[in-house]
Amino acid sequence: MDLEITLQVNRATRRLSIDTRTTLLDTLREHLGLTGPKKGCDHGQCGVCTVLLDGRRVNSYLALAVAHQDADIVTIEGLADGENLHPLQRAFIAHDAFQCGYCTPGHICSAVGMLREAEAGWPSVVSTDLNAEHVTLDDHEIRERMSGNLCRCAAYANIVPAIKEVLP
Amino acid sequence: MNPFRYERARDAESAVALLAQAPNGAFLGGGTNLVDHMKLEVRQPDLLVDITRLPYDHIELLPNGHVRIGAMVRNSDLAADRTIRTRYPLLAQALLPCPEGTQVGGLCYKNYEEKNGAWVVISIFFRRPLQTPRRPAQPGL
Repeated sequence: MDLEITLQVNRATRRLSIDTRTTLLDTLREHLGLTGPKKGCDHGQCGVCTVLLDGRRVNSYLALAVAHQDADIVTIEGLADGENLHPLQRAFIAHDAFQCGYCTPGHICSAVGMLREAEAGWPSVVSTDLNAEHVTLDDHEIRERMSGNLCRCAAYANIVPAIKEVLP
Repeated sequence: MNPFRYERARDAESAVALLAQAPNGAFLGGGTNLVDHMKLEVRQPDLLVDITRLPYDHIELLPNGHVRIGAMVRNSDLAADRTIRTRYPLLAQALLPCPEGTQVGGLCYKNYEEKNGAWVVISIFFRRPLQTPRRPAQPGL
């Protein structure tokens, strides 16, 4: 069954008719030509499909597009400001935080969302003080908060310092 | 995945009414488990009633000092909520290891062993400090 929906994708209004079964990931990749977010595990467990949905990081493979009418979606393609890369994109390049690059779009989008969560004071399971006023993102915290994004090339050792580079 | 109709519920009454007319239908909340199971064809509803826009996504501190948690509150928001962290730290600690899904998904999904619901139910009923599994960072990560 096809439905008409409207999505805000990378600051552009996109109208399309899609089958109700279509995931947000397939909508972005197959219908809108945005191949930045990737399909990896096919079950929303590896994180390569991570995009920002209304400012929050989500596994787009577990989201049905029809359930996100008018949602504000940002993919890796939408992080840069024209030719000016997002600070995280620059940091990933500077720290050589990728090898094959397949997980990188998901990692960067996830890191953007993660930094917003930390700024909002969200604790993690490794936080020593559940009620701390502010979150301190040390290596331990970054690894835990990014543990939903897998990298089979094991670029983790460079991903962590890349993320630390952009901390305020 | 089997074809299905999609309806967005206006309110709780219409959500229930829609599903009452569709014995093989299902409510769509966060979708963390349902969408995955539909892809695996473990569940094959022919109607999805989307309840995500219903106004039950708030955490309220009540005049009697209790807290009302809306059924659509995301577990990640619940674990991060300052009132919950202060007044019910056990609840926040129970959710932090795996803060996905919603309260209604975790507690009402057919399998009570689902991770989020199990932690919440266990922590409330046993009323004792709960040692949540703290995974150390893996070597090389």
